[in-house]
Amino acid sequence: MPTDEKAKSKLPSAVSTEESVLRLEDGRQIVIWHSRPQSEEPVRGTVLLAPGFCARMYSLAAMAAYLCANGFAVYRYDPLDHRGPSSGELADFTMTTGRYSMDQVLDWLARERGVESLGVIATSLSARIAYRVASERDNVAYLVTAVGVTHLRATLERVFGVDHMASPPEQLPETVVFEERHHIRTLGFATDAHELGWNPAETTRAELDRASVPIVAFIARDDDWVLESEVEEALDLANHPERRMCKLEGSGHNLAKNPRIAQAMLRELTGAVMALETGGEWLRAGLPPSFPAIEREPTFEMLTAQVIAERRRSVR
Amino acid sequence: MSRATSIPQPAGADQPPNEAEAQSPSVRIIDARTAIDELIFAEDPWYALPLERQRELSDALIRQALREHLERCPSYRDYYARSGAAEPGAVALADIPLVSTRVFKFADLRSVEAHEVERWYRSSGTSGQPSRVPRDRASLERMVGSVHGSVGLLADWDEDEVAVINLGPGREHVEDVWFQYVMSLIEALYRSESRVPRDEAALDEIIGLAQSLLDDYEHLIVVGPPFHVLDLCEHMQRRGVELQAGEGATILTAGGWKRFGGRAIPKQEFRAVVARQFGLRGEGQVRDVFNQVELNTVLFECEAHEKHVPPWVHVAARDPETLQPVPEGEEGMLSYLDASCSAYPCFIVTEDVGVVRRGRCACGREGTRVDVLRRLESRAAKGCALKMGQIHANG
Amino acid sequence: MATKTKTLPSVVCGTVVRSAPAGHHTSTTVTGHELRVPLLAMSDVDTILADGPRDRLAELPTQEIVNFLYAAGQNWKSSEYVRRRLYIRELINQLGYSPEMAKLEANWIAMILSGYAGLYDIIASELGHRFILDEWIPREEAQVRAYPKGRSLHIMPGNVPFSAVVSVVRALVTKNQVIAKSSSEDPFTPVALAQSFADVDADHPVTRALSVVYWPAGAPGEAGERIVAASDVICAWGGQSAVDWARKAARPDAEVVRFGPKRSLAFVDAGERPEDAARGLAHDVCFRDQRACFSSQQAFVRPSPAQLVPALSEALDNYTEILPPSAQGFDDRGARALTLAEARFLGFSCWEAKDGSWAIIHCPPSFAAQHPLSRTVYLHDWPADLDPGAQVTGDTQTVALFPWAKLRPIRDAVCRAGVSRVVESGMSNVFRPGGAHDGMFPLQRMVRFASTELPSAYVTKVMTVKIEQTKFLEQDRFVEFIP
Repeated sequence: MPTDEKAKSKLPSAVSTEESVLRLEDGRQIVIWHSRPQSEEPVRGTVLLAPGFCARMYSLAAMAAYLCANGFAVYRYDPLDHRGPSSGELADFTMTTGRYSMDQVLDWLARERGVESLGVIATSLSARIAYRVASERDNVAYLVTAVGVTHLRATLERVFGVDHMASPPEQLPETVVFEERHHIRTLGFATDAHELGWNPAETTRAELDRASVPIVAFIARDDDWVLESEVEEALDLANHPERRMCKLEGSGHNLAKNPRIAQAMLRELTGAVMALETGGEWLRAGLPPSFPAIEREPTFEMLTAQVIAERRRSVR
Repeated sequence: MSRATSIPQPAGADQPPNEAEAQSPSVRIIDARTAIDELIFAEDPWYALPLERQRELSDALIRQALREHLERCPSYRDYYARSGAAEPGAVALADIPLVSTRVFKFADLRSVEAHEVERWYRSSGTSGQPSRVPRDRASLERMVGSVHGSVGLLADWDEDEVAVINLGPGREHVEDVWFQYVMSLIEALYRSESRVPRDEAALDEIIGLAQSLLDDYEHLIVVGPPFHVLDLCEHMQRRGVELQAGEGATILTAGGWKRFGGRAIPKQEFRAVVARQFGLRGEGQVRDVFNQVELNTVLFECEAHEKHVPPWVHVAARDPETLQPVPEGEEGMLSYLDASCSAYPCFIVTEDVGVVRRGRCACGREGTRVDVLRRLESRAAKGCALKMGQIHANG
Repeated sequence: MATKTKTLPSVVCGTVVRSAPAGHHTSTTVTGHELRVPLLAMSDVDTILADGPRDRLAELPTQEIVNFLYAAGQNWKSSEYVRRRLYIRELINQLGYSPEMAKLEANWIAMILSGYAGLYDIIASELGHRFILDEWIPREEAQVRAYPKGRSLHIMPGNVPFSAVVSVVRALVTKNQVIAKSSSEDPFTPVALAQSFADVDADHPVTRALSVVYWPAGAPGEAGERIVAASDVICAWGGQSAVDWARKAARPDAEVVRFGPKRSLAFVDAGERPEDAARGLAHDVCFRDQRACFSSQQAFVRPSPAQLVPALSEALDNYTEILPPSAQGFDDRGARALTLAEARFLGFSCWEAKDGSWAIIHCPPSFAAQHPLSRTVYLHDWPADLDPGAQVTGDTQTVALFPWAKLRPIRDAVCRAGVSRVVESGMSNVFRPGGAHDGMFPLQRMVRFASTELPSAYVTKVMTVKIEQTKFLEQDRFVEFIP
């Protein structure tokens, strides 16, 4: 059985965060952060944040702060074979490793924290994983994605400028370089993507057809990697009143690049989570015309303090 | 949460761009774009823009900022009206009424509601009345954006590759002194260690830290006021330490010599001393940045040691009597029209004397550069007449 | 851009030294010329600190010093005196003085040096007796005599030549050797003064007692530090930094005499004679372009500032004619422009001369802008309930009043609050013998008093018998003599 260790942190940030280490049977470990509102009010709900490919947990500091400020308990984790403190190297990442990591964390939350139902907020590549997880697990109550990938192969082609997935294994380069710095081994990733059906848009659509959870998908209208039409196609909004797309004008794939847009997105996302958390069954009949306004907004100072505190924790 | 801000809805959030989308309950358009943020946070650096485009942007952004401040800041609106300046669409940038930076010493100037002010920041002078300047979230984010957007003038670093030694107090100790606050924000961008080189032991520790970070990281940035950097170099010299940083370090000065003006040495000499002591590959790795509490944008030096001014800031050197711009290349009192600031009208004339140049820089980039030469020093300061500022300094 | 280079000599114990073994300090004058001043060299210090120059002056009778100064002053009085003409020319060409102002400075030098009666009066009023530096003067049951402290260092003010001369004269009449550390703003006055002494008698002890040296502000170097360490008195004039430096650098037992920085202001009731009120205020504003600590910077005005403005504008214009302002450098003009920008931002009424020679700002006293000087006057309302004492502090030197007779009662309130000098408006620059300077009588700070006291044979006022202390103790009679 996997075991977990807990270490309380003293982050001088706006939210209270503690770190847990989930030890897997194979000896590897997944690091999980749990941030809670500092207010004495009862927690409104629990959400799990999954970082995008190559992103660290602290890249989700602002999102965690917004959610905590509005009453949510927030868990974040670093997948295996990823860039953060969990076991493995980024170069070895596969979609299935990402899926396994998310599953492990969801199981751990149910087992160790008694979280039977929760919302999942997934960014970019992890959204593709979350779509599958949401279609196969019962304890995901709702899903929110941000610039979520629905057509993996097309997105990868745009990212690398080459459709490596079309290459026979023997012709694949040993590694590809992501964002000019991060080397990723191709063979394992491509084999996994082919064999387990991660690549095509159709499998995403099929999985989402099976999924019954409410979904709110944020897309960026100037996103070069994830196209609006792909997400629309996957979500099939016309037949799913419990789903919504929020389109961010003026943003590319990096939603944090422009803080005005990021702030608007975080407000909307938090409002969406507030609605989804309280919605229950009736949400399946359709999402409300607009999400509630958030109740509290972290200040710049709070956000900066949290980012710095989490960065310190990561470096340590 | 101990504090909450008001939550205005994002501009354009309820204004879908097309009717079909507007009618669909499944789609929500969120439009929080502003021209100034699109420029500051653009993917492509502003300094890659042609000069003419920079001018156009500057003109449009500053006029937009002017309109906003006239709407939101009653004291500036009244001043503007009294000045007889033409309406914002027609006024020449040179004729936009300027606020003397000394006004911030005794007047609270703001264009946002009190609860939107994140904090009032103050100047770091050790004597006299400090300036107090408000900043809201957008202004602070844009200030950070000005750093992000200009750091490419130094190099293209990945955050994981860089460690920073900040020769100043760390995040926990900075409070509201703007210079220290800005320096401490570096920790939000890079792995940072803050140390005040207050004594020999601290200097020894900093040297050890520098050595260790040079070993562990691809690049080390040491940032601090020039007198602290000089302290460090002199200490290294006394200890017989010469680091071998090669291309692996950048020494960044900021904040000027302040009360240590007596120790100031010519810039070239300073760079040579620092480059020698750190074992840098070249003096181009010793750079300076400029900011002051009343200015929202941080100005970075390029490899030719020229401070480039982004297009959301209009800088001019002005005649000391008429406050009209002097011809390019001539010394004048520096003024800035900074469109990045939403918290107060950042249309300021300062006590700095400098030179403004436009066109192609020796580094190859086009744009506006400013050379801050010195502070204004009235001859009166050397007479026995007491100036008013001193009266207040004395209590 | 510098157009000409002027190199000044230093003066070492009365001898003009044109070599500069320690190099020169170079600056640019307000008129754009390059000015080179020799830096103090170790060899100069050896000469200056030799005993001769100090001791020879100490042995000189006061009247001989006064007579010598008078002789120098008479030269300065003559418009044909070449030193005077050169001095005036330098003030105009290098320091940007108007010809009228430069001439006035030369006249004041002549006045100070030639005013022998005034010098005796000052000695008498400040030290107690005209001959106290030469003789034992009976004083109650003692005889007292004043001795020079010894070596005096003068950190000279920038731009107030008058003060430099006053500082030197005070030290000389108290028989102190003088080392004048010039200001980079005005290195001319001390040198011209020293040269004019040599013109009278190159080997006179007064001439030999005066040295004029230079080091950059706050950076005396090893040579300067030796001077500072050997100085028994340091007279620090000028801005706060000069005064602070002197305090820090002085030997613990040395006397540091601080002049400035101070401000001065006026109370003006212009209800009856606005033209006279304006004329007095204009004089106090324009004299030395407000660079002196006695210059009025602010005025509290009745019945209202706005009513005084027309007459004051006219009076200031008149002073522009009769005593044109000195050239304003970049920084002075900039300081004025910033102040006006601040005032306008805050909605205060501002008036400026067409040629920029003066400015009036009607503002509350709380207006905390740096005062730019340069003939800028702040006018404040003077409501009936205003407490004049609350408008001044220990930093306020001179309060000028108009009309004198009517307002003189204000003096109690302002002096209690820290003011050291109350004068009639228009008389701020005239320091009357007997008056206090910055709350003190400076000659007292330049000397050491010694007393010889009466022997036991003399009875005291409270005892009618001879003082026989042993006997009193033996008989336990001490208490009988307590009045």
